[in-house]
Amino acid sequence: MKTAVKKFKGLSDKAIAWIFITPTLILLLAINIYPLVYAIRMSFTNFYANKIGREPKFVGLKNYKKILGKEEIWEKMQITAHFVCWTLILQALIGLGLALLLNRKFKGNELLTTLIVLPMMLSPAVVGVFWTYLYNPQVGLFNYVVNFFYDFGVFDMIGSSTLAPWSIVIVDTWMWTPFTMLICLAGLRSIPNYLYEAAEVDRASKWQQFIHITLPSVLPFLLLALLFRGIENFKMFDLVVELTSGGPGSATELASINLKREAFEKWKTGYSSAFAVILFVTIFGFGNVYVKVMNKIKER
Amino acid sequence: MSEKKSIFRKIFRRVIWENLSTALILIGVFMLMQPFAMWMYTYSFIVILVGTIGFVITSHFPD
Repeated sequence: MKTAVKKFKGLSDKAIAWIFITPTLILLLAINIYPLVYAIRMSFTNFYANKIGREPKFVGLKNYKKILGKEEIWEKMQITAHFVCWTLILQALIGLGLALLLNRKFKGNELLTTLIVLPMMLSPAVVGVFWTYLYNPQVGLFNYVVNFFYDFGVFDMIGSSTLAPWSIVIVDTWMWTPFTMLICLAGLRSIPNYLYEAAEVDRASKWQQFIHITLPSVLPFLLLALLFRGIENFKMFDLVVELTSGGPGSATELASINLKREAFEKWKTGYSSAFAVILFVTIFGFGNVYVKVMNKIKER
Repeated sequence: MSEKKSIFRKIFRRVIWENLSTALILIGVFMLMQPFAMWMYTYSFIVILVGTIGFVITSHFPD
C-alpha cells in the first residue's frame, strides 16, 4: 500500500486521472466503438456471415440504395413510427397523471406506488408470454374486461392485422408508464412549496398553478423520460417478438425485427449492417436534437 | 486581420448553423417515417446524415 502511494506521489494530477480513465476507455473502444466501425465497414460489402471462407466484396452504396428503395422497409418504418408515437403519447399522459396523483398524500400511497412500478421490473419475455394469454380470444382476461363495459363480441387482438399494432402499444404502455411516472414524480417532489404558497397569495387558480408552476418544472423530467423511452422503443425487439413475432403477416414487424430477420435468418450481414447504420444515425441525430431542446427548457 | 476574423465569426455563428442542422434532422426523421411519398423515404437518410454531421460540427462553433 505504502509503495503504491509513493508511486502515485511522483505523478501529476492529469497522469493519475488518465490512469483511472484508461481502463474505461479501452472497454468503451472494445465494446462500442470497434463493433460500430466494423458494422460501418461491413455495410459497404456483400458479406454473408454463414458463407465461411468467402471473401466479402466491396459494393459501395449498393446496400443503402437497396434499403432506401424498398417499399417493404418503408412499411416497417411506418409501423415503427406508429408504435413509437403512440407509446410516447400514452406514456407521457398516463405517466404524468399518475405522478400528479401519487404526489398527493393519502393512505396507502407507498403501497400503490410499489404496485404501479411492478410491471417495469418484469422481464419483457415474461410480459410478452403472459399478455398473449391475456389477449387470448377464448379465455383471455382482456376480452372479458372489454366486453364487460361494452359488448364487442369476441375479438382477437393479436390475430387481427388492424388490432395487432395496438396490442403492442397497450402492452408497452402498461409496462413502461411507471418509468415515466417515477421520473415525473421526482420532478414534482423537487418543486419548492413556497412557489405554490406565493401563487395562492396572488389568488392563482389550481389550473393556473398547474400551467405556470407544475408543468414548466416537470417538463424537463418528462422530456428526459420520453427521450429514453423513444430511443428504446425505436429499437424495440424482445417484447414484440414474444407477443406477436411480427405478425399477423407483417402487421407488427418493427424495423429492428426485420433487421434481425435479414441478419440471422437470411444471413445478409452486409445488407443488415447498412440497415443498422441507418437506424443508428437516425437515433443519434434525433437524440442530439432532443438533448438540445431539453437543455433550452432547463435554461428557462 | 481582425476584420477577416469578425466576418468569419459572423458567418459561422453556432445558433444559426445548429438550428439549421436541427431542422434538417427533424425533416429527415419525418421523411423516414411518413406514409405519404416513397421518394421522401428514399432521400430521408441523406438528409438525416447531413443534419447529424452538421450538428456535431456546428455545436463546436463559437456563440
